[in-house]
Amino acid sequence: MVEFDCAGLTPREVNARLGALAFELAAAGYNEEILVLHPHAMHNFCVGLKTPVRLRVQGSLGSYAGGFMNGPQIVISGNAGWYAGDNMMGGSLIVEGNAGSNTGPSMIGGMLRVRGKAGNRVGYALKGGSLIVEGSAGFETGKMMMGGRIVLCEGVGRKVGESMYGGFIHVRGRIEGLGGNIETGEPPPGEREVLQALLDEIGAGLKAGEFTTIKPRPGKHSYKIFTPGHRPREMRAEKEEGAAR
Amino acid sequence: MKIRWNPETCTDCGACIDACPTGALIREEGAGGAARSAADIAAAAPVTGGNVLGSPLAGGGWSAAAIAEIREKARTGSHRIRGCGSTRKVPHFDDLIFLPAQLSRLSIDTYREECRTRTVIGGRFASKPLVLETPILIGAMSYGALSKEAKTALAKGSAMAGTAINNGEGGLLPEERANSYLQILQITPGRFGFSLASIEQADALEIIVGIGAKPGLTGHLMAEKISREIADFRGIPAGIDLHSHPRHSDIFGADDLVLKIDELRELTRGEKPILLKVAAGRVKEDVKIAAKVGADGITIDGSQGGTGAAPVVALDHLGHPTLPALVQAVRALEEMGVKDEMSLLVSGGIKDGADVAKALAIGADAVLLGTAALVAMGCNVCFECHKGRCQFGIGTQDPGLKARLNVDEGARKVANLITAMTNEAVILAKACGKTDVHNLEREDLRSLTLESCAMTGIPLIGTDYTFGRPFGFF
Repeated sequence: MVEFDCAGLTPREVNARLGALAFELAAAGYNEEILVLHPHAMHNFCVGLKTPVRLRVQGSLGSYAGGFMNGPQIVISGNAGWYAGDNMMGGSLIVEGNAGSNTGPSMIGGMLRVRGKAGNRVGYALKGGSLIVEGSAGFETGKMMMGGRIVLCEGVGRKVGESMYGGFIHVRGRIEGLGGNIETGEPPPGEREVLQALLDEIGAGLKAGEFTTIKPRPGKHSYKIFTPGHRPREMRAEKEEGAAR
Repeated sequence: MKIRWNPETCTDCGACIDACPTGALIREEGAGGAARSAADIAAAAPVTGGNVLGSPLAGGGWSAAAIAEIREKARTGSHRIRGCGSTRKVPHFDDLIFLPAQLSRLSIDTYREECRTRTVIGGRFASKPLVLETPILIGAMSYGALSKEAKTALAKGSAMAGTAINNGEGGLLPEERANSYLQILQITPGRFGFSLASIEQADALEIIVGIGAKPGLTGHLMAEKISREIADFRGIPAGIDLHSHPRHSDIFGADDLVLKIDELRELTRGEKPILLKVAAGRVKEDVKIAAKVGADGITIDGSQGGTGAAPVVALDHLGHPTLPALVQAVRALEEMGVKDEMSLLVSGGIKDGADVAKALAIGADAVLLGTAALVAMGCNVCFECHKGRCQFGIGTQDPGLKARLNVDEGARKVANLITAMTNEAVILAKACGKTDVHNLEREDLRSLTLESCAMTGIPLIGTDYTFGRPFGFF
């Protein structure tokens, strides 16, 4: 196994040297993992890396881990900071610990898997690919997403799927609150099979039927800026009359 | 206002009937034209009554526009959306004037001596700044708000003039990039059509925080403009009203901006300028934050800026006008000690070379054109962009209407406008004794009004007097 030590290097140096090493090894047909040591929770790890190489990061990473990547398979043995997999195009990013908020923003393709929990706004503006959180996720998950799928295995916070335009959010467990402009139900034909295949791939032993699917409500989105909280007099009178009876 | 029908030029196309926001125009068989005069309509329509023409008794703010606005809100229960920008009169560069060189300094020959216009943007940290032939750029206008033909013409025109264009929200149109000389890629909260590939194609990146026409809000692309093609390009369903999010999902403050800029620098190996665009609000604070987080430059978008669609209340009641916003931005950069290293661009209502020259004199490095470039291609500023029925093929996705815009002719007109405006700026610079338009300075300016004097700190013409804090050269 090839080792790469980040100790004493700036993120720019890590990305340049690791990128060059990955390119060299991939060209030579090397198919084993590269072990990345002492990442010291650095930000911007492997952003924009396009080489199909396997990396195992021994430790945790900071923000934007694997941002814009397209091809590598990265496993982070610790936690990942905010914005892991930002705009990622392809490949796979596995976080064995927890991930911070806004995991996978605007992700376009590939697979992003968090084995622990994730923070708020997971998969904001997701465009494609599969984003799986094996633990729970926070509020506004899948907000304004346009495509792809988010799989949440242990519940989700408030306003899930707010104003989503496309794609699916599959939730198992408690949903604290739904966002606007969405509907819930069964996955459409074909999507259940895709979900089950994903669950089988991660070996979670879960069944697609245990999940509730959230998808966009067809038609124009509607928003209410002003929602008066009072009840008109007639309605109050009706209620008081009913109580008296 | 009296609307007159010209039978010589009317083609009986009916487009004015479609475009009319109130349905005031109707077709009459045998009338010989598409519509009757507004006077006839007003007389016949009790809803509009005489107010459509402006009652001589109107006063106290109860103008025809105010009455129409109230009736529309009473009818719909909703705020109004409109295109273009504010109709309010606000302080402008016209409120300043240049002092020409005479005996105290000599002028430069308008036609026979050189005055440089080359402009460098974004060289603070980026190793490959933009080098433009003119300090005039084409500002951010999205594919979606504008037709593909209009975007292509703008790109072509900008290339002919040797300057840059900003793609705006909604993705980088291949036809735009294929025809542009220097391309700025806007990074918007929605990230529509945005990917690593678009970053790789760009010459500079701009993180947008706000839009001058509707600060605090962001993209409104109405269903009428979301054709199948636009929907596919943005990755959204066709036929919806698209209300983008005003905040980036990964920028919750200055700390996040540092990280975001770091990420983009990593992606571009530190080569491409990373700019910020903010609407003019708390300008001094915003500019100082932009300087601290490591941007190469900042665009200040004043409240005279245009847009494809926005709530009218936002257009008319949010933000700083461009002139005082620019003064605030310059002061902020000078206080930070980074005025010479950080690029400052300004937009919002720039319409001629005098505006350009005055912006440069105050301290901008460059200006961006929006509405003016559209006007060059034929737009008559009808304020109806949001409806997608632009008769000039500019703010529409209708195939029939788009075909009305001749791309090559539009490009030539855009290039001509930039060239003519650059000429005007050069004429003023030379008259002030400058051999580089960027050498124009505040000392060359005087205020024509007490208001502009107080706002800018530039002395009132004919005096050495300023209200408030003088601006730099005493």
